[in-house]
Amino acid sequence: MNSAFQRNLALLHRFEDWLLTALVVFMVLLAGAQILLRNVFDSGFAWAEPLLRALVLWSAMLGAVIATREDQHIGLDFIGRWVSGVKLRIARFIALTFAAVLCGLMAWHSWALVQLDLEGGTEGVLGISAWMLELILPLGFGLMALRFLIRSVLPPKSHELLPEAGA
Amino acid sequence: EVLKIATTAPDGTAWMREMRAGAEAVRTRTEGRVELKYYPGGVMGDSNTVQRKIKIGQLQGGAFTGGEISNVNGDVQLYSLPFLFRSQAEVDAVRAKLDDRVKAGFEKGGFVALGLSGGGFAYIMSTRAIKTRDDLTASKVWVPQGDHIAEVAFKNAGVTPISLPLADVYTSLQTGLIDTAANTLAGAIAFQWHTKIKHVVDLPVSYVVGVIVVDKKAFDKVSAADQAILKDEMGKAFARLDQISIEDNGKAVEALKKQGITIYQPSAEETANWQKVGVDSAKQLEGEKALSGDLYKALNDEIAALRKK
Amino acid sequence: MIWLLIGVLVILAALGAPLFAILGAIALIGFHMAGQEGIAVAVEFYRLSDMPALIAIPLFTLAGYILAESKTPQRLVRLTNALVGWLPGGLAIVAVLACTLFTAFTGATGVTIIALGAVLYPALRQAQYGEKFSLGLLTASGSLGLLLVPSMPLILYGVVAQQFQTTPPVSIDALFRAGVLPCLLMVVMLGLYSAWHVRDVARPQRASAGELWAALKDAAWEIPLPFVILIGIYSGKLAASEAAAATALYVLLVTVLIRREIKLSQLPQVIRHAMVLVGGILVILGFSLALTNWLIDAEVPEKLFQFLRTHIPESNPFLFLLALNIFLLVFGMLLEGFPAIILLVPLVLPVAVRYGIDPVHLGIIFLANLQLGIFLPPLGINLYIASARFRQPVMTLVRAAVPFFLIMLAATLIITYWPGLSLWLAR
Ligand code: NA
Ligand code: NA
Repeated sequence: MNSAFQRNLALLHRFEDWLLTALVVFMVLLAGAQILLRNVFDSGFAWAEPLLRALVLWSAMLGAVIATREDQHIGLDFIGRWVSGVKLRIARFIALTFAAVLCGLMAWHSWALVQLDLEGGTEGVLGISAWMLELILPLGFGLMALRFLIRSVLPPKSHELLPEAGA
Repeated sequence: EVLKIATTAPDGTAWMREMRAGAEAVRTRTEGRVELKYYPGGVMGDSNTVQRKIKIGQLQGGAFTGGEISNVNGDVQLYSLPFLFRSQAEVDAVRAKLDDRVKAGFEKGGFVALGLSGGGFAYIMSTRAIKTRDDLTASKVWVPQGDHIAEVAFKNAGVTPISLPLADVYTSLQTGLIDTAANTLAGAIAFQWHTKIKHVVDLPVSYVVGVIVVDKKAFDKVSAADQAILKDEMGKAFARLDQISIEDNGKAVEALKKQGITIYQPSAEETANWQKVGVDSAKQLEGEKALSGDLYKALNDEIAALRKK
Repeated sequence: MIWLLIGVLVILAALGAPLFAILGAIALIGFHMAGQEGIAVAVEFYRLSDMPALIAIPLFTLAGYILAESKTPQRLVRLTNALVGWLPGGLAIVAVLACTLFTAFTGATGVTIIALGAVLYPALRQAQYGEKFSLGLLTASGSLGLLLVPSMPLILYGVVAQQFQTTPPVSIDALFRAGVLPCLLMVVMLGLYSAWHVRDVARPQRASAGELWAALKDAAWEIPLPFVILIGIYSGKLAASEAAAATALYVLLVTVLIRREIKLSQLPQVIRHAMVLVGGILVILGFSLALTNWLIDAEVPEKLFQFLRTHIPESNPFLFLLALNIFLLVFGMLLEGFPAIILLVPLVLPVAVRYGIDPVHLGIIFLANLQLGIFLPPLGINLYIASARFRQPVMTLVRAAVPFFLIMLAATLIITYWPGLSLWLAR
């Protein structure tokens, strides 16, 4: 990989991290504000509920994208204890290429979903159409497909223990 | 031909019983050429999801409330305008004239309506005492997701309603996320809301309709003779439901009273105050062109003619 | 052909393919064989955004991660030690109770492992409880509490069951009352086992009044948290999703702005850690929605159940209950709580009533078994959630959970064959 590509990749990683932070902080503040409005002032935003649900999907998909680049997806993980070296790299290559293909297929199918609601004009929330809210699916699965391809040829990342898990 | 039909109506309700009876009659009369298979209780998802599944051919139709399917045919909510009707007799007279036009409205959305039925009048019900419009503005009111007319009505009454899927209303009443909703009395029992609510305002707010529609592409695969049978039998099933709903709502009043639920009778002055919401909402909806202009005019003409008699 | 596909998928899973990809592949193949387009799987996956209760997962996870990165676990250890640490197995008992209440509130067992595991695991380890014991205890305790008011799966069972107009009727209140003693039985059995298991761990002396006061003051910001959630939910002021939001906001404000134990610049990293886990769980949930939908459409559970029914005479409820236990365990493992309830109650209830089983008792049997299935090897989801949370191989979790599984299995059998335990308070 050349350095310009790596720089762009690092930039993309930073962008994902910051977008995720922004979405989650907004989610916490909006959900918190909604409780205050509802319970103290007997009011609230009608759009808060559907928007919060969209935020959950977006931040979950971004989380899954980042999980891919960090080798953190949930799965049976005993292969790493049975084999190592070249054999492990081959196992990784097969398993993660399969995941890449699945994500690629899902990107394709969820793009069809976006088009379906684009044609149907299904309403979303706050004037944002449903297809725009759905965009995260082809985007997320597409990025995950690319990431799995990249990860499939790279050595596994060692999961550094969180301080609380290693205490 | 198997037509897969999804609905949020729970299994075991009169709606499912009659729809199953209709399906059985269709199967017998078409000698098994046309079968209807139901997915009750919302297992296929909310109405947006069900509509997506119809578009991709996973399902061929659905049984919806007017609010759930109003994005396909806004006219399905014609009878649901707030405080429009004063009696069941008015409803019957108007529906006899206009049902076919309402049903025909689904064609341009790519659907065929097999049956249309009235679920009865919706009443405001709450876990707290609601006597006036001011009481309502201080409550946490549920509005069905995507039900534009209900949203307009509540906003005109000065409420910011909370939009949730129907399936979440019971638990939300339980947890206090909402404390007030509107539904038919039989509906309140079918969805078990009667175990949570304590008060009902005795004022018909809106007339609720249910409709069974199938995808036009799937319908066209059926022979003309079988299409006629399908429309006939499902139409009859939904006509039976009209009568059953009236009876069930009557029984529901007694059941609610037995449960110790207060049924509050507003004074004439308060009633007039509530009904103003209807006038304001109708004006707004007319301006938005939420309903076909000529159909709305026909509706008003019919009602005016009835009340002149 | 089908066996070939299954074989390939099993091999891929063994080679380390993510679980969501395996589920996604099964869903795509299943829909394809049913003559459906792949877009149907995308439509099902998108139903993740139709579930209002789902927001509790990221919010509680975030709160848990923030608390975990702060000094809260240490303060909690200090306080619990001062309060009940001198009891045999005191901290384990605290862990069981806390996990039970938390699951009752959230209705989600995985969330308990994520949010409380972060606090309790280091606390247990710090109190010199064995690693395997601590992991097993937390994995098992995760699902404890599904039987306790105001657990959402319990409510869900009631709502589905009420459609059948059974005699005697299933009221939610009756279910709430029915769940109390069985839940207590499980808590007591796990507590006794824990006390026995850690009998050799050195017990500190009873804390002085001064230390107790200092520990209370130290944890002053944390102490209101469970009470706000408790009172909020029991009084009906807060829905579970609202309690989650209140918790997340409160924890964020206290830790970042008031105590400043996490710097603002560290926050993105904490959020990333939390959401990587949430993302991993929700993609699995998304595909399991698709899979469940395919199962319903292919009538797989119904066919399975019909098969079961023809082998058991109506006159033998004991045998039926035994079959039901196995059936629910396996389906609980495969399907997770909510889909399992929605899918299986309509199938099981009418038959169970004919075998003479009280529908309220059936609800408790249902949830007790699902509670076990959720961490039943090899596919119980909580094993994977705990594996991700504690960064331990799944096999380690499986082995650690075995003794706890056996205890809860014993409790479940008592609950199943002793209707009086459930019905005494309910009827
Ligand atoms: Na709950
Ligand atoms: Na628990």
